[in-house]
Amino acid sequence: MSGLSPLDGIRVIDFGWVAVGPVLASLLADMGAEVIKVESSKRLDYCRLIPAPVLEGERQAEAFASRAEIIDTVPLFHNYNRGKKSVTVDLRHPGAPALLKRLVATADVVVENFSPRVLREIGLDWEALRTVKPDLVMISCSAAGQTGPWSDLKTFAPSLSSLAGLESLVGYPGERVLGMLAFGYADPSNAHHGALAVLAALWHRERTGQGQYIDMSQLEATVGLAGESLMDYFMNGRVAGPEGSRHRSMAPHANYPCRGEDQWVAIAVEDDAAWVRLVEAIGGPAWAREERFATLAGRQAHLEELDRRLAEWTRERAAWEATERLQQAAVAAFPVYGLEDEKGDPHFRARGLLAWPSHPRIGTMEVYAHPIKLSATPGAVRGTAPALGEHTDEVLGELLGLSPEELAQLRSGGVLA
Amino acid sequence: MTPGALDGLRVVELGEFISAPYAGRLLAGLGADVVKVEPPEGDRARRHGPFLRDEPHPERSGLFLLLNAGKRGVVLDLEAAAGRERLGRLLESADCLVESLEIEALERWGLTAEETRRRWPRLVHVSITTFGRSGPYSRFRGQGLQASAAGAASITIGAPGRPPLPLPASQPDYQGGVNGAIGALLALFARRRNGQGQHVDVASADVVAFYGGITSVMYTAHGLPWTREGHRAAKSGGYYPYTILPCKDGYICMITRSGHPWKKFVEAMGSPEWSRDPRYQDRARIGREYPDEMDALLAPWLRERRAGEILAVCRQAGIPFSVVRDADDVAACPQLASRDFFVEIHHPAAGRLSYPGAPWKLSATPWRLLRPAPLLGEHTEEVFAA
Repeated sequence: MSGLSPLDGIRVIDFGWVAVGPVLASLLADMGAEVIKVESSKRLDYCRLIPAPVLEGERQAEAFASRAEIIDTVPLFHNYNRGKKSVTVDLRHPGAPALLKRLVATADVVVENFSPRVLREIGLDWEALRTVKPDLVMISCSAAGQTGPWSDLKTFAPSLSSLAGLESLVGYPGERVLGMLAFGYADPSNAHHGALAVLAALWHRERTGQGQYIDMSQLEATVGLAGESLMDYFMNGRVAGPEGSRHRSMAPHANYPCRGEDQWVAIAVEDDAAWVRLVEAIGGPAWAREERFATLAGRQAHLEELDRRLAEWTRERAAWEATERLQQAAVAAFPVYGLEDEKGDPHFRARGLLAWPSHPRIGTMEVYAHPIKLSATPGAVRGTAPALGEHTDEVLGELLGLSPEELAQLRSGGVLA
Repeated sequence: MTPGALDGLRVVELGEFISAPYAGRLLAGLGADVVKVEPPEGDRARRHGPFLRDEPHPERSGLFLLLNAGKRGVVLDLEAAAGRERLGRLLESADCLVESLEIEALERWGLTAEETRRRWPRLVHVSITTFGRSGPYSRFRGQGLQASAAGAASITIGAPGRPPLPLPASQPDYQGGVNGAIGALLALFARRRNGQGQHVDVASADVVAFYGGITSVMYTAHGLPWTREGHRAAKSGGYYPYTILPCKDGYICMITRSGHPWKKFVEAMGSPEWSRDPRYQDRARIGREYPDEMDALLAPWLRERRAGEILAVCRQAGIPFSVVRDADDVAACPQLASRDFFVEIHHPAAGRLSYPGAPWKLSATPWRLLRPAPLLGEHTEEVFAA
């Protein structure tokens, strides 16, 4: 049957909160899995509160009461949790573990990104959950892994990538470290690395019937991406500083100024043949035809002059004009986009960068669609993020056979909260 | 030997530099049999470095050695009919092709997604390129630099008024790689049901736009600009601090969304005089209106202390600040050591070296890379002997 989504029939229990766990599970949802987000009004996923100051401990209950309209409408939350169902269970209630074990027993995958002690303390760690579902695939993606002296580490994306050795590369050469703080690179990177491990474990389970536990350290998955500078250290003892836009094997390789305010064009020349094409595209000026620029080594040796000369050409042009001229000569070039440029761009539109799921209560929400395009069984954004607890009765009724009376009892007892 | 999660999967990798090779590395570490096809002059990464003792040598490029451990390597000249015929034989028995070639090369060699689908209907064909195989820019040339620019990452990195900077160390190419590997497995799941292969089209520009996009809505919802502000997120992302500041021997990355850790940090600093001034109590106003003032107030305390001391203070008090580490600190990290993260691999030309290891610990099917990166053409005979 074509048309089925790749993960149809897979059920995921998503204990994820904030970013990495939720984004990981949302990718599985886009690809057809049924994802049940287990969350609680007692300890809100704070992405539900992002437009308001984040509050601590008991003040969060107040925040919940006064912000009832906000918690279902935060764009960040919808981007991280679209297409899921929401079940509210107070994890700290003594009645919660037994109920959640029954829920996990119906599922294929568990996703979580708490500090390691959280699920251990309430008896919902891997050792406990595998007893109720022997072929379970479970991933824990904590900051530094389940073991080791830093296993309780708490981070935000840039503080994690700082520890991993990536942020120290960001800044202008010879100057202070600036970092790439707004972009939050490590979170989606770790979410997608985690998703790959889940898929591999599911593949193994389909073939052998064996489940398993994935202990993902976000730190380790991110250090692997800084491997180039680590290899330089292991090979040559060199410690790299901010690299700016410099590249070991490409020159030119930078963002050059264009006509207009804060307008730039990214130009990269991957080999000497591309350099010849670039020289022709900019009209073959005498400086560019000098022998010293003909090879990568020569261009690297005279990089400052090269950048200055090339900027003289780009500065006279709009970013798109420079881009088109260079692309016609098969030279890698593109304008440095702002958010609005990107969202309005016909190429990104054609490739479905954005989706607009709707919900009777929440309305239409613009979200970014996952970037993996499958020709025959494409994924899709299945809907908005759920309202808090929207599917509690439906899920527990259908999957666990709980009657309305039992649900009411769990609710009044404080388990479902 | 313990099994690999992807044991029995046959992957042909036809791509250079980082994107397709990183996908191949991830699939190989998970157990797939990855055959890397290189042109006679070798993968571009062989010419990239860093080189052992800084002497350029195609078998001693750190990037190549890292990305291609665990694979077998063959050399094929695809400009020649014999080379294309051999590739065809490989694809006959492969589950998955991962390529990052220019579209013109695919057309020349009869390897477009339409052609691979016709010739090998069960094959999963994964393309990892900068702009993708469809859409108005599908014939554009691009590198990680362009993906970073198009995906609105570069505009957020660097100092105002100065050139924007790209994501560092070719990161968009790595992300193209991991998403390509995800796409490969998704398509293989679909094939288990319907017996059919399909085309997976990953554009690293899409990936960067998605990664930044899902986070950018936090800024747009606050009315904050998605732009660059030097050593901090624009307008501190809404609340001070969201920044990297220098200390005595390095840099501290200071971020907190809630007020509690900030209060604790100010206490750890000895609750200086200014902390009682209302001007320095509203983190939203500080972050958006006068973060430089706050930076200056913190500077003396930070400059007197080493990164390690500050980290210890923060960990003690439960403050989620961290240090900006260089390669030497990462290599000496006690946490990574306790989990045996770094591995040693012996390579015939590069010798014994440490390498970053597994991205995950899988309990039943541990990550493994059984061999060092292939010498150029090392397995051509072995692979085509059968």
